[in-house]
Amino acid sequence: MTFLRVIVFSLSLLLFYALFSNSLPQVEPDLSEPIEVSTEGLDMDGMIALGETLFTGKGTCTLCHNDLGRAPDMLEMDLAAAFTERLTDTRYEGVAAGSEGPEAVEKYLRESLQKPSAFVVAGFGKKGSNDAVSPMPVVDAAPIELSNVEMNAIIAFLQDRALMTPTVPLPSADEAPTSEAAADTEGMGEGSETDVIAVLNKYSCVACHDLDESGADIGPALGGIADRMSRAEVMLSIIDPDATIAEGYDAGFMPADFGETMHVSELTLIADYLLALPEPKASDAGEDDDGPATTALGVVENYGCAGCHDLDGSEADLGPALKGIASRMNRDQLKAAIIDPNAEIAEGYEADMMPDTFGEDMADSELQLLLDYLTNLPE
Amino acid sequence: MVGIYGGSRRLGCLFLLYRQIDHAGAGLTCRCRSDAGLGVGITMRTAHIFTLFTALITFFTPEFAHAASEAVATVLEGAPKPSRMDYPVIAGINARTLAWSMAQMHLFLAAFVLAVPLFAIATEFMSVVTDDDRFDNMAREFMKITMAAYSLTALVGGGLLLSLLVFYPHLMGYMVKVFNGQVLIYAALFGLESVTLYIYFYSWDALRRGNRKWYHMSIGLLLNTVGLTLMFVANAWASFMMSPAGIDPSGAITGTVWEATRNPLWNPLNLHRFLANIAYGGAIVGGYAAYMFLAEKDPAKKEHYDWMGYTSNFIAILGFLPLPFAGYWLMAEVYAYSQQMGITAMGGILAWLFIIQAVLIGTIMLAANYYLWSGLMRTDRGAEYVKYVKYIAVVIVGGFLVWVTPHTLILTTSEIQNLGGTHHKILGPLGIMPAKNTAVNLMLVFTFLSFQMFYRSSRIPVVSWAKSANMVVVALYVVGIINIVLAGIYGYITPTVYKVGASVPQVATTLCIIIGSVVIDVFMLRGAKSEKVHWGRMTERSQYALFVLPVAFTWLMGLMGYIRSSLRTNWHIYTVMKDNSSEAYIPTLGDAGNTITAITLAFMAVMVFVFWLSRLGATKQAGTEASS
Repeated sequence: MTFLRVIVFSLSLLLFYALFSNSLPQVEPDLSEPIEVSTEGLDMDGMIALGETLFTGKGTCTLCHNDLGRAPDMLEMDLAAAFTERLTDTRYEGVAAGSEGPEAVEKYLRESLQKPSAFVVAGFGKKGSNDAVSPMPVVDAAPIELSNVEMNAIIAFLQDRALMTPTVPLPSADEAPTSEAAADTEGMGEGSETDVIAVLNKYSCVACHDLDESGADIGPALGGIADRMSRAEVMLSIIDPDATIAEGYDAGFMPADFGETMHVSELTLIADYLLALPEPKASDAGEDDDGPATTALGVVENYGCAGCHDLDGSEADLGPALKGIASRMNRDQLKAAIIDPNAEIAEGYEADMMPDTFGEDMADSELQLLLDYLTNLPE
Repeated sequence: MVGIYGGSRRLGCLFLLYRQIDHAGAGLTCRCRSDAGLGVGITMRTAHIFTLFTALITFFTPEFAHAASEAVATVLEGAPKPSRMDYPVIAGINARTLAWSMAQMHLFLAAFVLAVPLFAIATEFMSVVTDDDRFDNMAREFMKITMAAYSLTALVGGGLLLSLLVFYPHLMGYMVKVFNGQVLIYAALFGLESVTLYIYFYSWDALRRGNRKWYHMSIGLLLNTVGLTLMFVANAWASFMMSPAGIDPSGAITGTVWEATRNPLWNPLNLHRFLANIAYGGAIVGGYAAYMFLAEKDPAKKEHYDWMGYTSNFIAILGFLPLPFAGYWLMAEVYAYSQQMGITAMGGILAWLFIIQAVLIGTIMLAANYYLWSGLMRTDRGAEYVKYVKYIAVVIVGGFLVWVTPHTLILTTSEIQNLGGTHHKILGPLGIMPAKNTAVNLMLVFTFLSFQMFYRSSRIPVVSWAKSANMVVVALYVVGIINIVLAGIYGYITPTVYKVGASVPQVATTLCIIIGSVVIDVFMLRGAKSEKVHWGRMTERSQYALFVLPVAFTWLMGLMGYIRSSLRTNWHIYTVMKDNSSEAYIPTLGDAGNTITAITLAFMAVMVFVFWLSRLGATKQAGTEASS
């Protein structure tokens, strides 16, 4: 009995530790294969946008260049003044010492990226080195391994932040593409998608933007955007959505963290996809012209349900997943939730996210088709 | 002719090896010479002895000597770059889980069999000093358990080697190239360890009395020296994979074996594992003693196992108290070597792991203290100290709660809105290092106080200055605690980079309190009137606290193994040799927790077998005693 008691006691303790480790937030590993993204044809604005993504992503610069004091906070400080100060610092004897202007800054930054100890800002050297040795890793060596194009992009980004005109060369056709082998901050993020539709679903773009006459109108419709914006502007609008707000829309709606969470490849895929979107046809502008949908999938497509709800394992999560909804709600409750979505909000979700005009816009036949579809969705 | 040719070739190799290894020794000597003139002669002699020893071992190994002569040709090759297809896939076995399990199991067993001889010889020495045979008997019982575990350690070690050779041949080939003859030194030391271990145990009774006891302890000393050297060698390989040295960025060997061995994280890892092994060995033996206490009906045996449990707990906590400080050093060196690696551990993907660590260490602290408080009932004067227990409990539990408070929370948008930010306004500040450093130092100080109370409960000082000494001890505690708290507050107002530095005065204060109190007690209680300690007068419940220690320690060691390996992220050898296998990712905490639990379970099963074996050896069939 003593033996059994001891074993049960020890096993219970072990079980507790196992359960506790499973109850904590789990960071899923990035299992995606490294992919290469072509930088061919990237203009300077695109380079700046790419630089920002690299600065916060693959470059892992913000691990130390933040407000915690490990390295100068380059995203907050006055970079123009800082560069001038560094280049004229008597301790600096590097390739750009005594020079000034954007070219000198470019040289200084490139030297800092490749030989961090060439000049260490006072107070940021390795302990005991009297600011002679930098704790910063060489960025074109392991484990970061930035390519030339990627270093140029980061330099362009920093020059732009210092209100200078970037002087780095644009990538040529034969230059090495950027690689996303280590795009995450030590594997912190999820894997990158290589299919543009999967990317659009991943970031729930279609929930707010009308890309294919879905009728979504929380953000501006993006058909024919190539006529209104350059590739770089599109990329910047994704990374920094509140910088320029389209007329008739408000700031603060679009997530502002895509610069940190989105892979370079995904950003490029989205930008390419959007720039290829055709101008919506005048006859297609209003869905009313087409008459009510006659199939359940047509209703789902017309009203953009799948943009927010996970109906088939898409993992859209702006609204609750609806797989197996029949086991949780009856037909009347579902109907009420479609017509008056803010009356009752599922736990973990917010009100005012779902349009409350379906009661007026949706034909009764469409509503019945949708209800038939939803009540038959499997778990 | 063949023999002569072979011999001359070997001599050539010996010369070559001597020069190569002597270069390592010279490197060591030069560094020491530049540091200070003192001790240069000793260092030079040590280096040359090391050189000669290494060369002799390799001289008698023709295959290795041949490989060494080829070393010059391979020296400029970089590390291999295996593609995913180069990793063998055999029978659907998950290579990483297999290697992980074997490595962890080997570490558990090795930590135990290396640690127990350390405190066995210390206990044996106590028996000589105090002329008390109880210490000697206990030391022998410690070793009896180790003997049963030793062959299993070797068996699992062989399994680990096999799994690495089969599933990671490129990595192992490269490691052998880097560490060259050291691999053979390891094998030779392992043989020597086996010989000394068997002699030490089996000569116990033959060398028990008089001068012979000193011979026996000398063998024990040799055993421990060899054992520790073995651990240091293995640590060199593990730490090289984290902070490679003696090679260029491509992995080409540019330095000596000694340079690869003396990589930046080697010594911090040595110290950390040395202390952890002592704590771990104490905890395992404590669990054994607790089980025997519960199982035995004979009061005399119960008394013995209670005493053994107390001593083991003492050893475990003795090893455990300085462990956080060794951990700080290790992490400081990790940061110094690579900020990225440090941030990955403390502020990145692995940050939540330290909450699990806090729960484990909190469990250990609470269990160890509970056991100590229960021990107050062994003495008649113990009741006088019971009134302080509730205050100590408040500090230990409070410190534990601070330690488990996370800083960065993973929240949904609505949770952030409800919370008013990403950090909790009141509890958030408790999640950062100054609060945790303060908590852990206070927990250590009060755990020591629990020890001190039990120690004093059986001794009444007779010196005239006892009252003054007590006042000094109280002052030491009060001033020390205030200093720890103030240093913690300073940690909040200093930049992040200095926060870890702010923990140094806290650590120093804790050590001052402990060392100061011990010194005062030693002098004050010299010749003190001893009260009888009623060994065996313990509740059964208190023994379960001793089971908590080995279970939590084992799980904790598994967790630390996971984090140490994870720091390399997707590199076999950090920044030099990439892991391109399909398992080159950091598993989630849940997955790691499940694996660690499974390995711990397997280890527990092995230890139950080991304990059973050690008992079986002392069991005689009825009727056979006379004939034997």
